[in-house]
Amino acid sequence: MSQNTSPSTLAELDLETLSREPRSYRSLVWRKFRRHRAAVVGAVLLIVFTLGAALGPAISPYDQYEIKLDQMVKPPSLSHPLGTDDLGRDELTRILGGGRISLSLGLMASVIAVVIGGMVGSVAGYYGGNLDNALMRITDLMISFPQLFLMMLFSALFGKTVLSIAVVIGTLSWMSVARLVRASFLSLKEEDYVLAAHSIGAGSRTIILKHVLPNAMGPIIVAGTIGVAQAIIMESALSYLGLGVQLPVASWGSMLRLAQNQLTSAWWLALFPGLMIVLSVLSINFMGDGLRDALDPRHLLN
Amino acid sequence: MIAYIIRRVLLSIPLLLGISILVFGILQIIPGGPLGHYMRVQGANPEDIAILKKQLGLDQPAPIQYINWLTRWLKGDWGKSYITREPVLDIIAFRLPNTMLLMGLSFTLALIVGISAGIVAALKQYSILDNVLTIFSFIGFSVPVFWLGLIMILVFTVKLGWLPGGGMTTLGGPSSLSDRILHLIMPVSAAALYNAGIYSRYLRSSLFEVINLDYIRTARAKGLRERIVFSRHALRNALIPLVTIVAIDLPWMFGGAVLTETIFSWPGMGRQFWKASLDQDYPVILSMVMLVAVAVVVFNLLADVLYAYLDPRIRYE
Repeated sequence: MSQNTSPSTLAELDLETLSREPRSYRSLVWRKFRRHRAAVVGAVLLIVFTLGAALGPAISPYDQYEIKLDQMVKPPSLSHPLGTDDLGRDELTRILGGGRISLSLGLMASVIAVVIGGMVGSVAGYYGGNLDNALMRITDLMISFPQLFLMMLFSALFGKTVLSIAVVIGTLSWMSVARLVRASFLSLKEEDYVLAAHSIGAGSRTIILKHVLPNAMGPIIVAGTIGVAQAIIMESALSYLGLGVQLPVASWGSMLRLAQNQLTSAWWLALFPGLMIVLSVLSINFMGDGLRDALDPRHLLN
Repeated sequence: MIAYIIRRVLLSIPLLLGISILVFGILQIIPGGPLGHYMRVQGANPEDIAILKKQLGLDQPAPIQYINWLTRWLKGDWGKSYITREPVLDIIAFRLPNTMLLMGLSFTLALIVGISAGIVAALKQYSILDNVLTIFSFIGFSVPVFWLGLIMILVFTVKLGWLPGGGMTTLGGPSSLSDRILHLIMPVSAAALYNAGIYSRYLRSSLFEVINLDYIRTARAKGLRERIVFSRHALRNALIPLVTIVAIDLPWMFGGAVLTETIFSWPGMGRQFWKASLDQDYPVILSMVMLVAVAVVVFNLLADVLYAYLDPRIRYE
């Protein structure tokens, strides 16, 4: 913080200090984030994984679905850095392809959860009263249900496409976001600018969306980020149990399911998909932790 | 205090009713309805279905069906499994103790490890040890438990041959205590890791908050030894929020860790639920969902009451 100490006496207010560009909120947040080493490492790793997943299957010399029975179950080697699976497919390509599914599904589910939770929480927090009570009762009701159980039940009922799984996960994960948003709104709605907007005739919807919501974004971003990590774990759990993404489309979870049968002969099939899950989730969690510190309004007061 | 308890209990009742209505609703939207299984799998013809409907009272309006179903459920008649025709209550009663054993031990382990790690991390804030412990906790809740189990089996059973790869006991072998302990080691540790990570992070931040409060400073100013200040004042108060989290996790003693039990072939509730999901055995599925949801509400209630008992400031809201 060497360049950032504010002048403590009037005498130190020189031309240079006065004419320095005011630091924007965004740059303050970015600087705080940069100091959290684990978060930065996490963010970099995540970018690498995303690029790998997006481009990998396209530029790989192997097709992730092509069956080559003469290459079955080969351990890691120079031509197949992560080995091959029981149908002769290159494991590295499959992992990158699985990354596409797992990462995009996690993102979709988290977006759904944030949208639903944001709507419920903002309405409950802003309007208060009976509407708030009713919405919170519904939230409590949803929280009481065992999440994994319901996900298993719903994916057995509603089909197993990538989109429907994302919807199932998202619609069972919005509750914590709703609580966060509600708490933010409860305190933010007392701010003066809300009163000012109200007095010039702004409607409630405008106030919520244009005035209060942008100020509540901090916790929402953090919750959304960590939500992606949780969704990835949920999806891999569902796929591992056979209730998620169906073959031939492979996510990291379903690859682990296949690997279980060959644990004794092909250890690499079990190690790498799971390792990818761990690294992705870890990166996202560290990033979320860094974001939480960076966006914390208390720290920005320095 | 009593008023608070009564208030909370009264609030829980509509919640429980809501849960039962939701579960009943799910029962109705299953493809084909409650008798769909017989139509799909066992090829019953429409006349038989109509007779069955009348017999089981499924031709009556939904609210009446709901009341019937609810009264039967409360009396312990949870229906029969579609697959094995066993009463669901028996299926659950058989599996529940196994799950409670596994989850009970895993919670205990998670608490011991998590609390110790949290205390150490808070005392040695920002030191190398703190950073290492932080990374371990993050790994704890980032690792999918089924993969951890797979790797454990890979290392300890396949490669090293030290521990058995699944089940509660060795088939045909002596059912000794040491045999059961060997079978317990891997599942319990795998299931405990996630919670240990969360508990340690939580306790660490809770301790940070408490240590900076005024009454700690007063205690030190009074001349109390640091150890007493820490254990009697700081730690005790920092543990209170943890109580709520643990209380919310406890219903999983009933639900079981589906993934851990599946990986280690542990004959518990979680694994049963998984099998039932694959077989679409709805009586089993729904009774388990009800059971766990009710447990969640009850434990939440207990947690709130306990929290109000431990932290008097809450009572007067």
